[in-house]
Amino acid sequence: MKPFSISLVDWSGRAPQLDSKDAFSRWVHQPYPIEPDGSYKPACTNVPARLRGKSSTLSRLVMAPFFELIEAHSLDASAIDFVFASRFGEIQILESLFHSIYSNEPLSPVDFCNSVHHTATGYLSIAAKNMRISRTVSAGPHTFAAGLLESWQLLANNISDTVALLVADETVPPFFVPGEKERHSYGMVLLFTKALLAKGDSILLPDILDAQHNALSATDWLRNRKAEVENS
Amino acid sequence: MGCGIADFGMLCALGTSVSSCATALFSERLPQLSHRTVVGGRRVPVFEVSDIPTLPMAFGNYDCRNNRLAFGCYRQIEHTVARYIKGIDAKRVGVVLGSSTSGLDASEAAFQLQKRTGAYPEKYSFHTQHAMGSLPRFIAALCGAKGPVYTISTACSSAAKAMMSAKGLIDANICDVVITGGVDALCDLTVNGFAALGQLSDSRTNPLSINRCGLNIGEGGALFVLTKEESPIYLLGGGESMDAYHMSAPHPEGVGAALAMTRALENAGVSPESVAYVNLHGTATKANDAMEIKAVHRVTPHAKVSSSKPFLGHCLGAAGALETAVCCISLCDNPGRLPAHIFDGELDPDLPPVPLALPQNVERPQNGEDYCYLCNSFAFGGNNCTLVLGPGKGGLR
Repeated sequence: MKPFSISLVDWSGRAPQLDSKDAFSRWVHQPYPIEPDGSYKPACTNVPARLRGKSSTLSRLVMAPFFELIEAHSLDASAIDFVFASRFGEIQILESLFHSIYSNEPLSPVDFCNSVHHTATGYLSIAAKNMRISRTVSAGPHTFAAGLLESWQLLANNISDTVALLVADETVPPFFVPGEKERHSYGMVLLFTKALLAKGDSILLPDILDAQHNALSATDWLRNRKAEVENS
Repeated sequence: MGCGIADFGMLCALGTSVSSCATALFSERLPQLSHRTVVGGRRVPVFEVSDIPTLPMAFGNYDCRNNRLAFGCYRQIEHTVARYIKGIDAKRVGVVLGSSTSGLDASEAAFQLQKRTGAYPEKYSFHTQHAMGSLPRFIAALCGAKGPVYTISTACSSAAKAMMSAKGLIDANICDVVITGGVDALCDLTVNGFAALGQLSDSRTNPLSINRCGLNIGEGGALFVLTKEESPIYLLGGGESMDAYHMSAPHPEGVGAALAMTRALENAGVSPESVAYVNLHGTATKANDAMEIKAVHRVTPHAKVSSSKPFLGHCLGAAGALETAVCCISLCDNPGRLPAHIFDGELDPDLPPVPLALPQNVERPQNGEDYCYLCNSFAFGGNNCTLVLGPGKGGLR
């Protein structure tokens, strides 16, 4: 039996100072240091203003590239399954809620709802009118690889035809990780389908298990894949 | 194809083992409520676990309430885990667990201390205690698993989805054995958050009653050994959906809930008529009760139903695991008692009629008949999951 493989259809992302697919793509392949910018929020013009206003920053970091890819490939946004991979989730909102509890102030109901780890997929499902499957994975430095594996198994088990792997994290407030270097926020979307034909972009299970073994980030994995394709 | 559940362990306010929980469940002995004070001074009832083990010294860097609860569950299955993973490549053993809190309580305590004194608790470690991926990493460290190790975190459907994910790893032939389930610990954030949403009851939760007044937060966990091998119970399949409706309110007609239930039946290859029992999400909020009973009435109108929340509290990210454990207890029970629906008996007349598994009316079909159970979990963000469970041959333990 031919080994099952999946195909990376396309990918995009956002980060401070990288507010377009092209800018993000250039940075992935030729990275340089980016300063954390707590005020950065992607525009998300495809999302209704009322929903956008309530959305968390992390939600916007995945909604912007998701709708960009949907538009570019003329896909049905309601027919795609989601795997959201986030190591820290809504860690900024969580810290603000800690402040409220410490100050003996009632919590904001909206902030509490927005503090759950999978908030981004909640908003995305509403914006995309999507009633399909959504799973949210977290695995420390292996988080992207876990998301990749989860996407793989949804496709391999014939549960999904197309999976959007959403990968995003915000800057972790220093309280949680004192002494650690602050990392900038980012959001990425990788669109996967079942690979029907053996092509240069086919991804086999060992590639994914290798990503897990080496705790690869999404950007490292994409960079390595480009090198592989160029060398093949 | 279903995956076998070779064994499971559970720890919650109802009991510290499967047998103690089963005894309390079938004798309809509800646990004592504890209380927590929320911002503003209101005291609310909670389901708190009083007997939590400490961690072995070697795992001190993982020490937090959530991991202690997980350890209490793991100790109950460790012999089965050892037996099943013996001779298997450790890379074929996975750990996929659901949680909404992970070790949030450790960061809450650290935040309070740091604000007051400027210092951190001596052993505070965000990455091994609070970070969402730390719970399965702790269990993997205990059992030596080297395969996929990750958390599924989708609030109140976390554990149910973790079990679907674990089944997927076995179905895709990535793993031979997966330790799955979920654990959540009581913390100030969740209790205050649900208080802010106006969803906490001042008395014991009273699902499906006209007098219902909300939920009680609980804590605990259940861990399962999922395998390809023949087993006493099977996870036959499951269904997932999103409401695409609202971040904190379910679709009022239960569209997403019914979709998850229908997909679960399709995925497991079972008919609605074969469903003997549905373990409700059953939170006793008006919105959840109304939409869930509409969904059940549409999809499995003949199945008996009950909510286990009066026994367990709402254990949030662990709810799906603990309620699956309740289903497993019933599936293994001879003569086949169903978990009873405990409430004040005043059924909300606005709910569509569904057969309640009342204390006098609690037997499932007998052995030899083809039947299965459903277990519902619904979460913020309209994130739904229904599991399908069925009996195998023989019994547990």
